[in-house]
Amino acid sequence: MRLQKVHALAFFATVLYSTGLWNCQGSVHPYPQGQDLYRIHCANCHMENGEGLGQLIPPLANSDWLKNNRNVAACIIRNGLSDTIQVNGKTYSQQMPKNLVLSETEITNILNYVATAMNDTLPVWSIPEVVEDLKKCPPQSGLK
Amino acid sequence: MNKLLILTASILLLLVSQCQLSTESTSLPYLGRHSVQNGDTVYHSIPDFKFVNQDSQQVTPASFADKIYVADFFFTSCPTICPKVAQQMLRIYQKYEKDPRVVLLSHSIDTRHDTIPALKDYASKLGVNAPRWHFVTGDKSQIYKIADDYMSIAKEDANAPGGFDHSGYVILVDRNKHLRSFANGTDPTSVDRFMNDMDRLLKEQYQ
Repeated sequence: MRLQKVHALAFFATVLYSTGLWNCQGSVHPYPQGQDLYRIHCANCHMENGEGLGQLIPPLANSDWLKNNRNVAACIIRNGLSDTIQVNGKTYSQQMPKNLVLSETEITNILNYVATAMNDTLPVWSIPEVVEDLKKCPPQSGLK
Repeated sequence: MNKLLILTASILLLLVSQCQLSTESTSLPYLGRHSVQNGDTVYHSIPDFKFVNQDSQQVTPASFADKIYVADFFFTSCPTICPKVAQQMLRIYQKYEKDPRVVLLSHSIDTRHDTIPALKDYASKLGVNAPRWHFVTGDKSQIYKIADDYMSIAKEDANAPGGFDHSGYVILVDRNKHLRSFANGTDPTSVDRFMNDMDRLLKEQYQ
């Protein structure tokens, strides 16, 4: 009887694990590379959940700025930002450093992680779209 | 019979001394390098300092008289751990905002760029005020030297992101300038435990 219970538990655990409902690393996300890269390159300033910090670091979560400026978002990830911007009614002027090591695919995955994990109505980016956007980046708006 | 008495007495004594030990263990430890003077332990303590905060006011040990405080080291243009530490410091600030016994002290290690107006701008964008949270600048060598006394790291390093190397630790200093707890300021769980230590210290020092 006791052994059967253990078997049943083990079976249940296996099902949970294989369906991805049970994962020690946290919830399974459709953009796992984007999630990993976000944690490495973005979360220090924009925070794990994209809430930003006071009026120093703008939020990425439900950001009206991302929605209205989707074609320069990739450029900002690559080249940083030194302009003053308005996000959700607040002004932000802290410089953002550039990040030249990320490929077009990696930038796309980060954007899509931000779009799907932190924003309710932000469409995802395609890789060709990001490649085109990066060709049209304004000349060096980032940190010197 | 006498032997039995002595035995009982010593067992009782042992029990009592253990009681005292266990009450002692509920108070926070004294951190740092202690010295011995005339046979007494002298706990490590923060030496005198003189800095200037975001409101151009002088900040010295007198600013923390009868208070406990939380210290850290940062710079405003820091691209790595500082925002995460600032977010956790902000949690501490918000929890003790109404408690005049608690103060926060952030030392800038970039004395060239973090001028008083730059510190003022940073503090107001975080939505915080002196004298509850001082952002200070001052003599560079004095800041780097006092980082050692807080058992923290602060130095210029051209290879580090942003040009400075520093630890993300937050340090708890008691009413007598002794170090009593610290936390990894980038880790919310570590800061939870740290705030618990702050409550214990308040209980210990303000009975």
